[in-house]
Formats: sequence, C-alpha cells, structure tokens
Amino acid sequence: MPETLLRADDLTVRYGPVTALNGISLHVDEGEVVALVGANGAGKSTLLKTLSGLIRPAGGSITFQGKDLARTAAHDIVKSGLVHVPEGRHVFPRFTLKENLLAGAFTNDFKSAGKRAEEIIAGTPILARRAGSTAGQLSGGEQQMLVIQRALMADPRMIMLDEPSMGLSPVLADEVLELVAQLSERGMTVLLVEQNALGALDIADRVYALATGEVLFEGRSDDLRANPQFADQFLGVVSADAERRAHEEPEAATP
Amino acid sequence: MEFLQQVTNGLTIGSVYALVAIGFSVVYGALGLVNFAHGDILMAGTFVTYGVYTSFHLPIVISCVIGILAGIVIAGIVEEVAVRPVLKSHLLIPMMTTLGMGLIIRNLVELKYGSGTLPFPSFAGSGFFHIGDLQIARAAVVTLVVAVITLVLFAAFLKFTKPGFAIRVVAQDMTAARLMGVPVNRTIMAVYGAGGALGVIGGLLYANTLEVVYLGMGFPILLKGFAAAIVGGIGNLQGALIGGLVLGILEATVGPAAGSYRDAIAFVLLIAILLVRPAGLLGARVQERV
Repeated sequence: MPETLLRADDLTVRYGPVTALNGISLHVDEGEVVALVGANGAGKSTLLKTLSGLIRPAGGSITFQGKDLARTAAHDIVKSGLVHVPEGRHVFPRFTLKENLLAGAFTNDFKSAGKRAEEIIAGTPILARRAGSTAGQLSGGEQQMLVIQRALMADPRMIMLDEPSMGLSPVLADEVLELVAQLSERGMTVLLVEQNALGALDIADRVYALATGEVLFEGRSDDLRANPQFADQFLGVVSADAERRAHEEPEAATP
Repeated sequence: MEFLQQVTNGLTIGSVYALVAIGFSVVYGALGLVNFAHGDILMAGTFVTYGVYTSFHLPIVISCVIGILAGIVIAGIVEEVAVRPVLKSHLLIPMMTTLGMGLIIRNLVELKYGSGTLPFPSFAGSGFFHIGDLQIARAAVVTLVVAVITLVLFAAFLKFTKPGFAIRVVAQDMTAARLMGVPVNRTIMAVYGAGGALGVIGGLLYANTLEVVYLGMGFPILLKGFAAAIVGGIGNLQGALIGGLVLGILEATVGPAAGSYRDAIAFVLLIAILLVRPAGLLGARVQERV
C-alpha cells in the first residue's frame, strides 16, 4: 500500500463573497499521477495555489508527508518537497536559461546547482539549442519545458503542474505530456491540471473532476471514461452509451 | 581648464545623486514602486550619524556606520508599515503612504533637532589635491571614492550573493519567486534596506561636502536622485549611475553661468534628454507590471 503524500480535507477558499473551493477533499499517493479536470472557473488553479501556499484557505486542512501545510508559507512548502509549476509558465524573462534553473535550486544545494543546470540544458534538446537566450525570448513550448525542469531543480517529491500544455501546438502539447509521463516512470508523484482532459487521462492513474469548487467525480481514469454522464461533462466526448440514450430520449442529451 | 574643473566638481556631486538614484531604482526595479520616503530616510540616517557623533563622541567613521544601519532599519520599518499592507493596491496608494511616512520621519527628527542648519563634522578633512592646474577638494575625492566603492560592492552583492540573486528573482516575477522557495517578504524588506543604506551613504557624502546637516536636505537630494533615476532609465542600476553623473555634470557646468537658474536649466536639459529617449538613457522600454 503506497504512502499518502498529500492529503487535503474539506478545503474551503473564498475570494470575498465568492466561494472558490467548497469543502474539497483529495489525496495523492506516492508515485501516482493524479489529474484534476473541469471547466474554467471550476477551482482547479485555486486548488493548486492553495496547496502550494499562494492562497490561504478559509477552512480545512492540508498535510504533506504528515506535515501541516495550511498555515505554512509558500517558500517553506517548497522546502518540504512539494513544488508548483503555475499556469502561464512564469519564467524569469531577463534571466538566461541557466539562471532560471538556478532559481529553481534556491532551497536546494545552490552551490552545485550551476553545473547541474548546464547538464540539464545540454541534455534537453529543446533547451540546448536556445542555451544562449534569455527565457523571455523562448517560445511557449520551450518556456514550458524550462519551468518544469526549473521545478525539478528543487528535487521535489511531488510536482503540481497547472495547464502545462495550454497555448501549445498539439505536437508540443504531446511532448509536454510525454515529459510528465517520463517523470512518473522515474517515480515522481504528479498532480496535473489539464484542460486537455483526454491527454491528461492517458497518463493519469486517478482523476478528480471539479465543478464550481466541488469534487463531482473521483476515481480511476478508466472509470471516468466509462461514466456516461461525467465523460460527457468533463471530457467533451459523448460515450457510446450516452449517444444511444440521446437517440431514444432527445431531452436527456440536453445539458 | 575651467571646464575640466567644473566636470570634476560635477562628477563629485553626481556620484552622490547616483547613490541616491540607485537606492531609488533598486526599489522601483524590484517592486515597480517609488519610495517617496527615500529623501527623509537618508536625512534621518544622516541625523543619526550627527547625533551619535555629537552626543557620544564616537569616531566619525563609526558614527557613519551607525547612521547607515539606522537608515536600513528605518527603511525596513517604512516597508513593513507603509508598503507591505498596501502592496497589492493601486500603485498610487504606496506612493501616498511612503510620502506620509516621510512626513512622520521628518517631524520626529524636527522634534529632536529642530529645523535649523547644524554643522556636520567633515570626515574627509579639509584641503585640496592639485593635479596640474586642477584643484580638487579632499571631500570631493573621498565622495567619489566612497561612491564608487559602494556601487561596486552593491553590484557585486546583487550579482554574486544569494540574497542578491533573490532580489533579482523577485524583481522579475514575485509569484514564481515564491514558488521557487524565495522568501519574498524578507527579500522585499532587504530591497528597502539596501535602498535606505545607499540613500544614507549619499546623504552622508552630501552633508560631508556641504559640512552641514538640515531637516530639509532630503527633498532636494530626493528630487535630484529621482531625476537621475528617470534619466538613466528607472529600474536600471547602471542607468541610475549614469543619470546621476550626467545630472551632476550638467549642474556644475551650466551652474556658474546660470546663477540661481542652475537647477532649472539642469532640469530643462534633462527634459530634453527624455524627449529624445523617453525611457531614459539605458531604459530599453517601459515595462508593464502586472
């Protein structure tokens, strides 16, 4: 039985009068890839920001390796081994690729990080050919590869990725998801937010489907695919089952 | 030869402006905020030096160090009280709160020392160096040397130390910095502290050159430092250095001919520079902060 790395219970987040997360509970076990799917505004990014300490929850608890995170500062959460690659990539635009990677090692062995950063750049073809550039000059796909590598510089036990394939061409989006799959093969625990839900499900062990700040579905990826109601709502595909019913009762297909 | 003399004088006062401008620019570069308490922080730090020197008869160099430390602390308090709580507000708000803190600092100093002009102990000694026909006051040489050493040390701090790296990271993306494990609040405080230290060093050199310290000294230096930072390209540290030197030289060269219009003419020339290069001498472009 794998150890539960991250556990959130009854998490509530409010932006003023708006409730963004309404009593969300989830857990991620060691070595798992867990996907969060849901429409815009469902609360996926808010959830990641709360887990990484950027947002303080109004209620509920978060533990990571048994340590309470709900009242821990963001920079200390990184030290405990949980890193967050935010939506929109957030490279340091005026820094070189190497300096960006160095920033990722801020909580780690900073002195030896320079050599390691050079090795990572040399070993990542998409970055190696841009080694002389600043991060602001990179394309979206190159930046995404850079920020994932940057997060890994902290030697985390678990990585949270927010929309890593957003705005990328299909080929690059596949490459990014392929990188996530490789990380998982090397034993990394991953919490993945993706709008490309089908792509995410291909590499995820389990999935949480969110709508308006609540978990509507929790289970194995295959179970979500097979669930006619949720497959339609969260994956944008109509299962064969649902299609048949739609023919029989047209009103059932109305969302 | 007279012109060369004026340029030398200009470099001296310009290096003071440069220090103040860099103190300004490091805060702007990191946060996109203008610290309007900067002039009063540097005045207060200079007064602390004056106070410990005259009250406790400590050596002037030690008094200066205490004044600089006081500047760091005061700037840190300004950040904690007047900036952090309103960091996410519209940028006019921290402008107003720092302006208010400046007033409070000025009033506190006034309570203790009044609003008169007090003699400041020169730490450079009097007398002149002669290089050919060129005559340079000892105070000017000390000013130039201290300013250059300070700027080199500060540049090295930013480039080669971990806290310096943290400042450069925070300056580019505060959210990402947080997610990398950079203690952002502490770093912002360090930015203000560094700005305060640079400002007080500038204030001490200014007081040393004029051999006086007075309540209102912060404002003219603030104005010049601000102008120097803008002309150089605000947020850009090399730009602030060049801006300070340009302003000093303009003042010293047009000054004797312009009489009491000296400042006005210097500022007109600065405006002319900005007309040609709106983002400042080294400002590549105006960056929008989100």
